[in-house]
Amino acid sequence: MKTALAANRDFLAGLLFLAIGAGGFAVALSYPYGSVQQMGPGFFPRSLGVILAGFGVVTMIRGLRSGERVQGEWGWFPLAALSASMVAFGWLMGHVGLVPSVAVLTMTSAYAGREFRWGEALLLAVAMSLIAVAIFIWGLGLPYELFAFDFGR
Amino acid sequence: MNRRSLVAAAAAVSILAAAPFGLAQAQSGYPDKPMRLIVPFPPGGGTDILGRIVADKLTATAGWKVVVENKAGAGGTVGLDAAAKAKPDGYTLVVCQTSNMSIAPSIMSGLPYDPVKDFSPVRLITAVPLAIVVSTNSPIKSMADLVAAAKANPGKLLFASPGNATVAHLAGEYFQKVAGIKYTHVPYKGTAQALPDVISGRASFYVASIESAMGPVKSGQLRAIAVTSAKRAPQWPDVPTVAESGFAGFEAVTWFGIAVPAGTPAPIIARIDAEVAKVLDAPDVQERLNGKTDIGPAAFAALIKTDHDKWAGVVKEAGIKVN
Amino acid sequence: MDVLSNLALGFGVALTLKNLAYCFLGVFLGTLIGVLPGVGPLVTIAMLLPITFGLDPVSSLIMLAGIFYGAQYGGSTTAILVNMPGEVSSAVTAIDGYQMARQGRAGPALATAAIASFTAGIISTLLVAFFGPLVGKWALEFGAAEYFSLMLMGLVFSAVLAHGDLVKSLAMVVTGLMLGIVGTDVTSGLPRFSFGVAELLDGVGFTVVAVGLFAVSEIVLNLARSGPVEVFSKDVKDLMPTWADIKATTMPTLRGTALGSFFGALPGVTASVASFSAYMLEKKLAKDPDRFGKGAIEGVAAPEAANNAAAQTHFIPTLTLGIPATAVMALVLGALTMQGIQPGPAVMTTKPELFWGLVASMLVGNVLLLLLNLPLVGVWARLTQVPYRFLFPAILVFASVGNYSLNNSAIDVYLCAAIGVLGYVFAKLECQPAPLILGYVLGPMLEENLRRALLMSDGSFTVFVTRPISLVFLAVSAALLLAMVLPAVRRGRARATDDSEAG
Repeated sequence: MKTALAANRDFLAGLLFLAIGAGGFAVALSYPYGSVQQMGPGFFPRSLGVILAGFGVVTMIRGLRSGERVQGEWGWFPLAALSASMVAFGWLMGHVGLVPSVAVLTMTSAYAGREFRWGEALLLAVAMSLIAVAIFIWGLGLPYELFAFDFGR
Repeated sequence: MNRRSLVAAAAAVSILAAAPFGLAQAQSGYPDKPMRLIVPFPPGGGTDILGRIVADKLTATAGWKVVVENKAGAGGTVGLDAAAKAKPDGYTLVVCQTSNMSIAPSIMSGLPYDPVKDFSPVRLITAVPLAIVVSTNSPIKSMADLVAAAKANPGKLLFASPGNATVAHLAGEYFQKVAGIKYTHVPYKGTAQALPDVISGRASFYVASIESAMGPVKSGQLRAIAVTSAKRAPQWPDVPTVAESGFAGFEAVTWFGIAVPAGTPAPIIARIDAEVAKVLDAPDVQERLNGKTDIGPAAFAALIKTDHDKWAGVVKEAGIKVN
Repeated sequence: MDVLSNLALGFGVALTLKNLAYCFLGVFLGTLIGVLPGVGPLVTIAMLLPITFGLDPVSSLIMLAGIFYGAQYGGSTTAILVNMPGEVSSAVTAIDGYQMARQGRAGPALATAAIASFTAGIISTLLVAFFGPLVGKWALEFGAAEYFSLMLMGLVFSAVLAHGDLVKSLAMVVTGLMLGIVGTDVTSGLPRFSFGVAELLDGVGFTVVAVGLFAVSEIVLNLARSGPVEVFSKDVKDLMPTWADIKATTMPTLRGTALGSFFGALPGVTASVASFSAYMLEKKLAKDPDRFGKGAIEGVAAPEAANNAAAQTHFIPTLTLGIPATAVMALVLGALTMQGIQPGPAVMTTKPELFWGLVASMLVGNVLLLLLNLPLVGVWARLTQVPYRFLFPAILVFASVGNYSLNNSAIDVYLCAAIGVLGYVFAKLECQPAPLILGYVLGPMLEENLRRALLMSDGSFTVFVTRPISLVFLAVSAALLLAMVLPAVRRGRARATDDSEAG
């Protein structure tokens, strides 16, 4: 069975492990290694990096042999939309307060779904803002402003 | 140093400074909205509890609405950084302490704030001595025994601390230097795993805050051989200080205090100081704190400076480098 | 007999109307709080602490304890329903609990969690009552060498977590170990993998990892599926476990209780290690381990029993030694000392009404927990029938606000989003998240204790075999390793041609 590398499940997984392992190893090179008796802070991360890279290579080879494909389509759009809306939420919390942040988070993440409808999403945003305020501010007393406008300094 | 007169002088200066413009405004308008007290540690820790007591009491006695905001991370430096960059309008207060005000500059090269330039110290809440404890089964019964044991076996005694670059760790290093002895530092992550090792004798001795050693000492599993403050601790009148044990001048305490961002108007600082002082004087607060302190803005600033110089020396000699 | 009369004294204290009310309040608040990710018992107790100053010591301790074990239970609710572990220890429950919910068996999963928690709570509380001081003394025997060998055993066990590819699972464990390294090194004080970000000096928070890896990636997987989004089966079967379910979960619950009680009594171990161990043990013992990860009810019962048992036995080192195992216990200890009570071996004799009142209230609290949660099962289970297009933005809101509230910092939300991306890629490549979480949990303890043991023994490895408890753990690990490797080698020889599936 022949599978393009970009669709080969285990080849990609192995590549990812190899990258994480090699990256970790490279960063850990700047930490003192010590010795087996007196392990330094670099001992563990470097050893783990090598082990992980090894697992990565084995997984890649097995992927080449088996040729298993990645199941289904990649959901790049929902992935990007969801993580972007979380990042937006985090940033907004520091600047405009809880209510607008939650509303934006709800709207943008709802947009990632294929059944998005403006009316419904707006309603949901209002409901979620209310629920968030009720639970986190009134219930738990967390120190967030409901609305703010703070872009200064 | 006469702290009382310094305080008085500082108060006088701030009132004078306020007279031309700020006084009326400071006393009528301030505070007209909720204030936040940044606690640079997670909920539940010692710093948090102190912060919450002060916040609660300010609400009760001064009628101010003070909201505690926990902003933890990197030994409190994340929270202090946030406070340093907040508007200096008197609505942001922060609980700071020895480690992140006086020690951090010596051990963190990338410290994003300057403890002296970026803050105006307001008032010391409390200063807590550290305890030096050993297992009840240990042959070590005094600081003299400890020094003798370390001299007999250089580098063999195991000195347990609740973490690298904590005040307890530095105090241990400091004592090594003062007494001219050598032992091996074994850092733990807090007290949970350190205490069993000390109680069972796997570690030779432990330096940590009095609170964390209190339970096992009272129940007879640990023996306190000294406290690190200049005077004996009120909780343990029978335990000698390190200074009494033949090392005059030895002092290592963890203090906690309130500070505001630099640039906060002087009359407002005086106002906060006065209210916090009232809170700290309340008998039920006194009961929870380690006796009475009276250290206002000027004396507090001086304390930060003295401790900074002391610990910078210890850090340099012990070769401790965190970042 | 003595214990019985003491228990009677305890019930006398716990069953007063006032203390019953505080117990209920604690359990109720704890359950609610536990549902929210990030907002844990620690935050709740810290906020309520000023209130408890005004209460008498027994009442305040009863309420604090109620919050604590209530939250342990509440965390599993969202883990089962939406794959979002609300508490550290419920990450394991999510593995099979969520699959059950998808198959329309949210009711039995939730009820099983409640019943297993209840059973474990009762048994381990009795353990605290009868053997508390004894166990406390024994926990003192655990030093760095013992902890290291114990963690190593957990790591060896982790191979059974794998479903599907063994090599990939082990690689995920190692990835988790590396993730656990992020932050300040305990032994040397050096920051590692923090890239100059101050917030990373304390490491990546568990909630951040668990929510990103489980909840966020699961949502993306669902949204990316072609065809109408049908995450949960519309065919909701019975709400309560069947007789067969109860029979299947009895032994796992008891074994989980035993493991949880053991780990809870050790001050150096987090409760999540207990739930992982219980899960791995069940999978190892099961006749058909393939069902695990696909909605095996034992996979819900065992870890739930383990984490609730650990929640009760955490009180042993706290009360009898004055050593808090967790931050929550440190708070409980702080509350006690503020009330002028000194924990220690003497607490049972000097303050019998406090100790036995607490024990009795834990029994009462577990009954309340069950009474409170069984009726709620129906309500919660109906949540799975909410259209997914409403459900997923709501999950994301709770996940984000919860993460933000950890340190009141946006960094945790950014990190959670990043780990969500990684989690999704891993999921598409069929790499299981559970081994990663295990590695992340065990890693720091493993490294810290190994290096500390060597530091204290002056570089000599003999400590691991000369200390009997450590030796036992190492021997078990070695036996386990052999038991796993030998059949695989034999099978490998038998069919040398096929190496794609290893169990």
